[in-house]
Parts: sequence; C-alpha cells; structure tokens
Amino acid sequence: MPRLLSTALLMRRDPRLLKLPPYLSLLCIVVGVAWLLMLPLDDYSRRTYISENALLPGQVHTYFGGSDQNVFRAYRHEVDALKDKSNTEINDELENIFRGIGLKVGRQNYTYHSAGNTYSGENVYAILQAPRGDATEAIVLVAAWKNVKDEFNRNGLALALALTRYFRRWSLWSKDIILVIPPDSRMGTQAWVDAYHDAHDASRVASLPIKSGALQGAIAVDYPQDGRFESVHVVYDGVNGQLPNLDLINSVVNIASGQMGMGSSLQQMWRHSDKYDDRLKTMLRGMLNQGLGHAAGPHSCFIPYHVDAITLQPVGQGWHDEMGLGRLVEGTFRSLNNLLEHLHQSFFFYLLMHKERFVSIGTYLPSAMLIAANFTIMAIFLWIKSGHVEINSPSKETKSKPATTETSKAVEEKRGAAAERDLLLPLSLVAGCQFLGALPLFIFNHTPSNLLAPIFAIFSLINLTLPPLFSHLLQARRAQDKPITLQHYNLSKSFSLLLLGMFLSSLATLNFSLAFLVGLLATPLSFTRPWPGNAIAQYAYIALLNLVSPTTVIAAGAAAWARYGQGEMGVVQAVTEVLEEAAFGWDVWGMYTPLVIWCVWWPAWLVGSVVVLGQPGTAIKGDTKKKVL
Amino acid sequence: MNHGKMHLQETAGLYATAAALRLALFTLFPALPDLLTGRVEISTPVTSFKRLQEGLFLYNHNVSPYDGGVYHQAPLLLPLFSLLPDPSAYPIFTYVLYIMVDLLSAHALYKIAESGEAASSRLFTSARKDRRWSGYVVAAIFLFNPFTIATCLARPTSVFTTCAILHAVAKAIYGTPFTAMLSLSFAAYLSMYPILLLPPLVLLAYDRQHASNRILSLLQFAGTNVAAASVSLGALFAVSYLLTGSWEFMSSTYGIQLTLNDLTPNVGLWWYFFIEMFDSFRSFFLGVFWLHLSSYVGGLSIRIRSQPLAVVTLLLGIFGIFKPYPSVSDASLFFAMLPLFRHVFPLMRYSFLTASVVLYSTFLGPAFYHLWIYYGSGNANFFYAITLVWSLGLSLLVSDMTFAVLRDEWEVERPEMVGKEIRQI
Amino acid sequence: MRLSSILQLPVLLASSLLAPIPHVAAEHTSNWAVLVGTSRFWFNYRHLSNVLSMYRTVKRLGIPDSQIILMLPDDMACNPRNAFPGTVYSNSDRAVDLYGDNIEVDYRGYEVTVENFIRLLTDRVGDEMPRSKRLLTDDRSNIFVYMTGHGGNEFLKFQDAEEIGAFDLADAFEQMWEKRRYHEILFMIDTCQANTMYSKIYSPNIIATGSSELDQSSYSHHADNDVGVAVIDRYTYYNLEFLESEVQDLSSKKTVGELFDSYTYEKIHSHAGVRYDLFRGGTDAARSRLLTDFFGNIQNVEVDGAKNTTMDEEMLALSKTIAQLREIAAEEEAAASNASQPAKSEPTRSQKKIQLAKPLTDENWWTKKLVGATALAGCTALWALGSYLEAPRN
Repeated sequence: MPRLLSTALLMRRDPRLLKLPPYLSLLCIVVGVAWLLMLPLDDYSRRTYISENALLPGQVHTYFGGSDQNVFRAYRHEVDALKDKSNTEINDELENIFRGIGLKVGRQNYTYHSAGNTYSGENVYAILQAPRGDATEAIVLVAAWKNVKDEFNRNGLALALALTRYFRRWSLWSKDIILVIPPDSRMGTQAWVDAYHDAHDASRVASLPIKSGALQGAIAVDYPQDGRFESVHVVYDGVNGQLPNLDLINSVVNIASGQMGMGSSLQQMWRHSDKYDDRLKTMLRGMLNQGLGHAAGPHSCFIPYHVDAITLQPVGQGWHDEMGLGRLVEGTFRSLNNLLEHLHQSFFFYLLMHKERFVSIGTYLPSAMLIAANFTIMAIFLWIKSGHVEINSPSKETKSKPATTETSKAVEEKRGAAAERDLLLPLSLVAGCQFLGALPLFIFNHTPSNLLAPIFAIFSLINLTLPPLFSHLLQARRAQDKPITLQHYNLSKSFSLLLLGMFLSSLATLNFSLAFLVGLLATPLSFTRPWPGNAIAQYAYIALLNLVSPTTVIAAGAAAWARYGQGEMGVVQAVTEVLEEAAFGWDVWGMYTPLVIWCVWWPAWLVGSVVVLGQPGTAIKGDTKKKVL
Repeated sequence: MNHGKMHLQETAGLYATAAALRLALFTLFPALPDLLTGRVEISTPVTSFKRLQEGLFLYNHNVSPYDGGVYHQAPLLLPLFSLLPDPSAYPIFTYVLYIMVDLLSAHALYKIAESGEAASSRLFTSARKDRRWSGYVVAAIFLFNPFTIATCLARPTSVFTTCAILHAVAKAIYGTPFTAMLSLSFAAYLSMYPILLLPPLVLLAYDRQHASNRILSLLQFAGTNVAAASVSLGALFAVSYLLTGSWEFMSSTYGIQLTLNDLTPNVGLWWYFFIEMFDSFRSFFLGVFWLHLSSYVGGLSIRIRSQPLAVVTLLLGIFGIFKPYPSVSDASLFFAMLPLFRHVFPLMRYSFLTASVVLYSTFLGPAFYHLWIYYGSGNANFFYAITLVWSLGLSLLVSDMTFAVLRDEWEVERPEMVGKEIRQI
Repeated sequence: MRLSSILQLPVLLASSLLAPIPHVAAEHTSNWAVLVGTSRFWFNYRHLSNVLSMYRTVKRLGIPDSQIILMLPDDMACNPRNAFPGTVYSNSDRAVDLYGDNIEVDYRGYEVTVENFIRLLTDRVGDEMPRSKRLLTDDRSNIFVYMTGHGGNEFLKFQDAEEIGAFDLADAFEQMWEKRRYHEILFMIDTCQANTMYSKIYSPNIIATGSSELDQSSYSHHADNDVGVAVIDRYTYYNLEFLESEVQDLSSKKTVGELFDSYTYEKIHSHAGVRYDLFRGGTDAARSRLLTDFFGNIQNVEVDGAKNTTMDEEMLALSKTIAQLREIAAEEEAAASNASQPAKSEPTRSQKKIQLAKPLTDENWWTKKLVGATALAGCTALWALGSYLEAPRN
C-alpha cells in the first residue's frame, strides 16, 4: 500500500496525467447521459415481478358489484346534494353517513400559511375496525373532496363510501381500514398523516381524536369524470421523489390487467407502445416528477412516513364502470390485507418505463454518480494543478497565456517541492457564496404570491450582475500588492466543484432524478476557466452559463409549462405558480427541492461565473509565499 | 499574570463572537439543539445529553441514576447539573454552561499554541518552527469548526472531557505537573479513555518543568505524577461513592465502555462488529479491541519521545477512530490539536484526499442514516459503510500526520535530504 | 443419584432379555405417523392444508390420534384473513373441512422447531414431556414421516427462523435405528428441491420419496379464490388422490410401488423422486410393501402363544428386587435432600436481592443541591490549590 501510494504520488507529477482529467470529466458526463439513454433497452431493464410472496395479487374473487351499484348511486346522489355546501356542513353529513354504517368517526382541523396565503380545512375520517384483527395495523382509503386539479371528485367519493359500506360486511380483515376524506388533495392528507404519526405542529394542525394501528398502505381514488372509463392511471410519485414500494404498483397493475381486463398507465402515457421511445418518455416524465419532488396526488404525503401509497385515476372512454374500479380497490385491499410485514426494502428505488418494465437502483445510479464524479474529478485535478501554478509564475512573465505543462515539468524538476497554496481567499469566496444561497431561499419562501413574479424578475437581473460585481470586488480589493492569481481561481473552482460533487452524490441516494437533473444542468461549470486574453471566449462562456443558470431554467421551465401544461396561462402567471408551488412544498410538504436549487446549485453557478470573468494577475511570488492567511 | 490578561484582551473579541454565534444558534433555531442531541453521530450512549437528563431525573428523585440502564455517565455530573435549573424549562443556563466550557477549551488551546511547544520541544526543534499559527488563529479554528459547534449545540458531556484534556496539556506545558495530573484525572474520571494519555502527558510535563523545582530523574518524576493522578482519581471515586451510595457506578460507566453492552450505532467501528459477533467470541474480541487501542500509547510515546505533544495529538486522533463510543466531538478535539502542527503541513501528502473523504462522509452519513432509519429503504450496512469511510478519512489523517512528524524529525537529523522525495520500503 | 443410575442396568438387562430378537419377524406391530408442516403465515395456507389432508388420510385408515404426531406451526383456521373462520380446506370445492372435529395438534405454533422435531424422533425428551408429544415407537413400529414447507438444496426451513439440514435428518434416522425405534419408515417430503432432503439418509429400512429434484420447485395445485390463497400442493394433491381412490380401506392391496408409479411430470410439474436402496431386500421388497403398512393401522394383533413359566418367575423375582432397591434409593435421596436443605436455604434467602419498586420522591432537594455545590466547590478548590501551589515562582 505505501509503495502504491508513493507511486501514485510520483505519477501525479507526470504532465500527461495532468492533461487527462478534463477529458475524463467530459467522458464521465457523456457516459452518464448515454447510460441513462440505454436504460429503456431490453438488456438493461427488467420485467416487473412481485417480490413479496404474501401479496398474492388477483387470487381472490371480488364481489363488489350487483346491489352495491345501487348503494353507489345512492351515495352519489347524497354527494351531489352536498356539492356546494361548506366544508363543515359536508363533514357533518359525512359523519352521519359513517355513523349510519357503524364506524368510528374523527375530524381534524388544519391551517397552513404559505406565500402569503392561508389554507385551512377540516378532514373527516372513519375507522372500520377489523372484526377479528388486533388493531395493530391499518390500511387507508383516501377520497379527497377535490383532486389536485381542483375538480370535484364526485364518483371517487361515492365509490369510497360504497366500498367502505361493502367492506364492513366482510369479516376477513386483518387490518383496520381507515377512510379519509380531506377537503382537498394537497394538504389535507398531509395534515392527517402528520397528526397520525404525532409529527404535526400543534399550532397549525389539530391532533387526531382517534387512531388505529401502524399504516401499511394507502390507496387514493381520484375519479371526477363521469361515465365509463378505459384504463386506470397509477400515480405513484411521492414528496421529495420518494416512491412507494414497487410491489404495490405491480399488484395493482397485475389485478387490473389479470383480473379485471383493465388497462393501466403510468406518467400520463395514455398510449404506450412498449417501444424504446415510449419507454424513454415514460422514464423521463417519471424522473421529472421525481426531481421536482412535489406531491402528485393525495397519496404523496404518505410516502415519507414509509407508508406505501398510490392514487388511482380512471381515464379514457371504455367499457369499465365504477364497480370495476371498486373491485380493483377491493382486490388491492385483499392483497394488502395478506401482508405480514413491510414490503421488501430493495424495492423502493426504481425507474418505471412501462407498467411492466423497470430498472432498479444498481443499474441506474451509476449515471447520476458519473455526473457527480465529473465534478469531483475536476476538483481533484484543479487541486493538484494549483500546486504547480505558483512555481510556474516566473515563467508567466514571458508568456501571456498560462504556462503549459511542459514548462511546468521542467521547472518542477528543478525545484521539486510542492507549492504553497493560498487558501483563505478561495475558501472565503466559496463559503460566502454558499451562505449567500440562504438569501434567495428565504426570499422566495417568504414573499406573498402576488409579488413572486416581480421579485423573481428583479432577482434574475441581480443574478446577471452578481458575477461581474463579485469579480470586480475581488480585483479591487486585492489590486495593490496581492493580485489574484490563476491559482486562486483554480482553488475556488476546485472547492466549489468538490462541494457540488459531494452534495450531488449524497443527493443521488435520496432523490436520484433531482441529483441527475441538477448535475446535468451544472455540467458547464466543470469547464469554466478564466480567459484573461480572450474576451470573446469569456463572453461566450458567460452567456452559456447564463443560459443554464437556475433563474433561466426556472423561467424556461415555467414557460414550457405554460405552453404545454393544462390550462391557458401566461408565462408570468406560470412563474408565479411554479414559485408558489415551491414555497408551498417547502412550507407544507417539507419539500427540499428549493434548498437544492438555491443552496447547492446556485452557489456553484455563482463561483463558476466569477471564475469565468476572472482576470488573474501575475503573482509576486515572494509576497504570496510569505504571507499566507 | 499580566501576560495572561493581555491574552484575554486580545482574544476577548474572538470569544465573544464564538459565544454569540452559539447563543444565536441556540435561540434562533430552538429545535436545532434537540435535533442534534438525537443524532447518533454526536451523542453516544456514554455522552448523550438525553441520557444525562434521564439520570438527572432519577437522581433528583432519590433513585439510583443507574437504575434502568440508560445513564452511563460519571456520577459527579449529576450534582453539577442538578445545580442548574431544569434544562427543559430554562435551557439558557445549560447553553451558557456549554458555551463557557467551549471557551475554556479554546483558551487552553490558545495557551498551548502560544507556548510553541508543538514545533520546538526540549529535545527537538523543527527546522520549520517559524511556520506556525498564533494562539488566536488556533483558538478560532477550534471555535468555528462546524464539528465543535455541532457538538456544543448537542450538549454531550464529552465537551467536559475535551476541556479537561486540553487543560491537562496546557498545564503540563506550563510546568505545573500536578494540576495537569489533576485535570487528566478529571478527564479519565469522566470518560475513562483519557487515562491512556498519561504516559505522553507525564513526558510532556517532565520536559516542560520549571527550572526552579526540577526533578531530574524521569522515574521519580513519573512516579510522583502517577501517584498524584491515582490519588485524585481515587478521591473522585470516593466522592462518587459517597454520592451514589454504592460502587454500582463503576460497572455502569466504565463497565459499559469495557464490555460494550449498549450497541447503539455511532460513527465508530465497534458497534456493528459486535452486533455481528457470535457471543462466544465476544470477550476475546473485546480484549483484542482494547489491546489494539492501548497498544498505540507505548509505541508512539517511545518512538516520538522528543515530541510528546505530537504523541498526545496522534493518540487523540486514534482514540477518535478506535475507541468504543467515538463521536464527532472526539474528531473535533483532534481537529483542534492539528493546527498546532502547522509546521509539518507541507509534509503532509494526502491533505486534499483526507479533507474530501471526511467531507463526503459527513454528508453521506446522515443521508444513509436517514435511508436506514426513516425511509426504511436502506439498512444498517449503508450507515456502517459510511462510518468506515469516516474512520478511513481520520486514519489517513493520523497516519499522514505521523508521517509528517517523523519526516520533520528526519530532516533535522539529515539536513541534506530536505525536499527530496523519499520512498517507504 | 448414583444409586439410581446403577439401577438402570438391571432394567436394561431385563428389557433386553424380554425383548424378542429383532427382525426375526418381518411384520410390524404398530403404525405411527409424524406429520410436520414447517411454515407459518397466511400465504403458506397450503402447507398446513397439506399436512391436515395427510392427517385426515392416516386417520381414515385407522391410525389413532395417540399414534399421530401432528406439528402445525400456524393456526390458519383462526387467522383473521380466513374468509371461512374455523375451517381449513384443501380443495376449492370446500367439500371437506379438514379442521372439523377431533383434530389433535401435538406441537403447535412456536413449538414446531428443529430441536423439538429431532428430539421427538430420537425420543430425547425430558421427563415432563407428555405422552402425546412423544413418539413411543419400538423396533416393530412402522412410521410414516411426512414433511412440507419451504426448502432448498439439502435443507428445509422451519418457521422462517431456522432450518433442518439433510444431514441432521439422516443422523436423526440413524439414531432412531440404533435405538431400535422403528421397523420401517416411509419418508415423504413435499417442498422445493425435496429430493435433496433424503439424499443423505443412510439408515436401513427406509423408503423415501420427494416432490422435486435439485433446482426444481414444487408447485401448488390450485388456489381457492374465496380464501384467496393456494390451498394444496400438487405432489400432495396427487398422493391424496391416489390414496382416496385406490386405498379405500385397510383391505386395499395397493403397494408403495404403485403409488410411486402414479407420479408423472404432467401431473406434478416436477420430477418426484423415490429411494429404495436403503430398504432391506432392495427395490422389489420396497415396492411390494403395502400402502396400508404405512398409512393404515395394523390390524393383526400378535398373541403370545407358549408361555415360559420359569422365565416369568425369574422376571417376577427380578422386578421385586428392583422395586426394593428403588425404595432404598428413594429413602436415601430424601434423607440427603433433607439434610442439605436447611443448610443451603439459609444463605440463598439472604443473598436473594428483592427488587423493590422505588418510589420517586422529591425529598432532599436542598441536600442534593448542597451536596452538588460542595462537590463542585471541592473540585474547584482542588484545582485552585493545585494551581496556587504550582504557580510559577520566578
């Protein structure tokens, strides 16, 4: 080992090796992206399978139907009658219905504040106690009054009521069944599930009056459309890109196709050819949703508590009726009922590309890790390089460009010793930029929603001028006796990239997609360098950096959403909504995407831009050598 | 004394800033101390503030604090904390106490740095001895080290040990061996492992005796000092016995460290190993692990006899890796001592690698712990892998520093080799 | 104590004298069945119904409950997931409730362990073990051993917690043979890679059969969609089918060979295996054994013909001596224990530390503070003293 290390030490002086890292870094990026694009191929993805023996999906006859259809219609009638009533009146009526069925009922108030808005409401929920169970476990059926798109979940509610009444007739439940009816899909379940696990802030969210056992799974029904449907859309994204256990999705898909003859789709891919391009599209949509980390449905809030949850949405025009969806839920509940323990631990990290094809973490993680590694490689490279520059500096007087490595080798062989690094300035620059990241985070999380768009515009402008300003300040402050050398820039970039690589590789284990997307957008930062003599290159590069700056990306994302998303809206409104959603996610769901953008990506971008704009002067060797720190 | 006052004026601003920063963190983020208190990286079973509160409650209600098997800390901490108002109602007093302890540690460090002992001891003077940081900088590095701050916020009792060790070293350097021994016995009483620092500390004190009352024979000097340490340790045990009314505290505090009965995860290497261990091998490997830990003391003390302070520093680093319940606070003590050796920094070869490894494990550790405990999508191996990386980083640092110190010595012996590449064969 | 161990000798002597010379008669005099399910949890319903079906079959053919050892690790009938509470069915037609009346489960729940199973076979059990949990066989007993659960190459899992290896099983059978605990054994196992489980057996007079080869899975036959789980395994199903249809009663002359010949890959979906080589007389003798020799209870009771009076008298005298010696031994032991008891009990009583619940009190609040302050002040004083004494004097 020591010999190996000392050989490595000798090797690092080799000039050929010093040329290599930028190419290596580029290679990492290319391979990382190519890797991702390979995943949809048959050789890299796998067919889904049920890992948990106990689930036994589709092995039971489901009997929901027949006279239950009349029950369903009756409930729908009652729900229709409540449509325009207030939250409390609705809950009064629902409580009556539940008590009529013979269930224990609880109600819970909550109030959230975000981006200057106040959101409040009241959840109502009922617990069906398993007749022969021991009340140590429970499964949850969620039917929000309104879905994420603010549509009235008319059929979903009626179906949930009818199902609950139907479940009550069975004696085979080993777990309690909890029916939760939040008034909306975004925060009601969050408040409920927080309070269920006693993790709520008592000043905003009331505690639950009654509880059952540990939650083992949750199914949300989102069924606003009328008439018959063709297939069922499984929404599975959780907050912060956490996913439910793949077994749950597989079970639903299995029951839907095997038992009901019902199609199922993922990530709004209504028509899926199971060919490369459709698979890629599904995967990328999944990654985008995961990367954004927002709640995709009422089920999302359950997942951080290690409760596997999905939302079922009937879509299309077909021949399946409400009873079919009911039987799907019944079959899934029977499967969950069979469970004896939590679902298997290795099935939480996956990318789905078709309802029956997935890649697991071992296969896809390298692509994000490669992207993160590219930053680390550059950081190490620059660190080593910075140990050489100062020795070169005398020769720099004769050359305008930074000394080539050949001369550095020559000089180095003469002197041999490692160069002294001036760490204070780079360290304080990088640390300063990192701490500065708290500023936009604070601003965008505390601005009232009507001011979000203007403030964002102002911030974008400031963002444009910040790098030149910093660069200028640095030059001015150090102008007299201690000019900023190339080494300073190299070290700043090294530290900044080291931090970025570190954050991204840590993040990749928690939220792969976010780490990958941010990493990809930050790749130009690997190749920043000061262009002292070449203004065109400098401005071209700074323009490129501004194209992939966090602000530009947010604006572009919002514009794309305004264009291709649902509903008509202008770009300004889209920006407002995006930022509002981010603030809402931060305040209500504990979504950390804004933190990653402002405290990981943005500081790295800032340092990168400052490096590009840098004008390294000549070091007066004696000075820097003597006074360090 | 006058000199000391000048120090104080010089550093008052620094200490005030450090105290203000800690106080601000305590008050502006009231959830932060409790969050950090629960982190296994900072609070170990033998230092945790939560467990201290449990022991304190039992003690205040006239029940043996060791009943229930939660509290594994020294009994004398209890009267100290029972003097303070209830930490949950008036946390400010606890905060102030911990801030004070941090400042006291910083002050000891300041004095150590000012003495210049690190670069020029009685038997050895480094050729690079002019390259050093002032006490001000060393104290600042300690006070603003994120690990130190996190430790202060989490309030483990290891900060008292840290403080006692630093004072022991400072006192030894300033030629007051008995106080040094007293201080070391405090440290050993609180955490047991500092007793292993006795040999290098005796050597350090021997080297730094005042000319006025010098004892020339090393054996005689060592004998009196060991006796002094034993007497004060014995006195502390006696007081503890009087306080708790039984010798139960011995097995509950030191016994638990010796036998590793509590296998709560931490950043060290022991817990996972002993979880996996078959019971029949347990006592054997406990012996091996302890022997391994203590085997460094003799070797280093003899090999680097001329620089006892370097030995103390290296040992602190080694303890931070290999002791039964290490935490971030042990690493922060090691990191605090490191800047004293600035003169050997240019000789260190893996500083960037070490820094990267330590940084990486600092961020990945909590992430993996989260995956294991909260998401349930990882398992214990994730976290253990990261603690291995953390230990690897620290051991790289320790070995690198050992190399640098030895090389520094070698270059003084053989000036013609300065700057030449050497290879270990 | 020692005396009683000496006493064992004449007993052994007597029993060996009494016992007929082994294997003179090829016929057996009793039938036993050991039926073991090794997996718990609801989705393993079929393993329990396998075992219960076998139980029903051997009972039907006359083996009494006292000679059936039934090991069931879980209670499917009372599982809350069971849509038909209190019942277990092995067929989706639900014609026969296997859990009806007269079910005697000898080992249940967590009693079903590898250790208990091996102790049962080898009869290495404590005195407290009731007769119902013991395999009281002798060298004239035919035993039918049936096992089912989840297994692999040369092992069978017990309750997800431990496993029995093929060598363990083989050694247990060998010990049985050495202890003369069986006449012939029919060993039948239904699990994945089942044939590996009997591959290590080396004791004589054992016919072994298993459901599948190495690297083959054993499959379930069908599921009951109202119960929601598979209800029986294929191998067991076809065994039962044969036994139900061909072995109607004890007069059946169907042989073991005929049963084994009925296994086909088409039916079982795996290659069932048979092992005859251990059997005395080889394949032919083994194949010609009647199924009722193992599944049914022996009807022909052996009647002792000629009485040997002298022998009887001798035995009577011997047993009287033994009884006398026993009495003496018992008296001596009682005396010894009486002598030691008072001497011993005194110190143990005093040593025994009774853990009392300590009340939480708030007394001595001031004392505590005072003691704390004193201790702290003491330490500080010590420190100050040290510092003062050693203050640099120059």
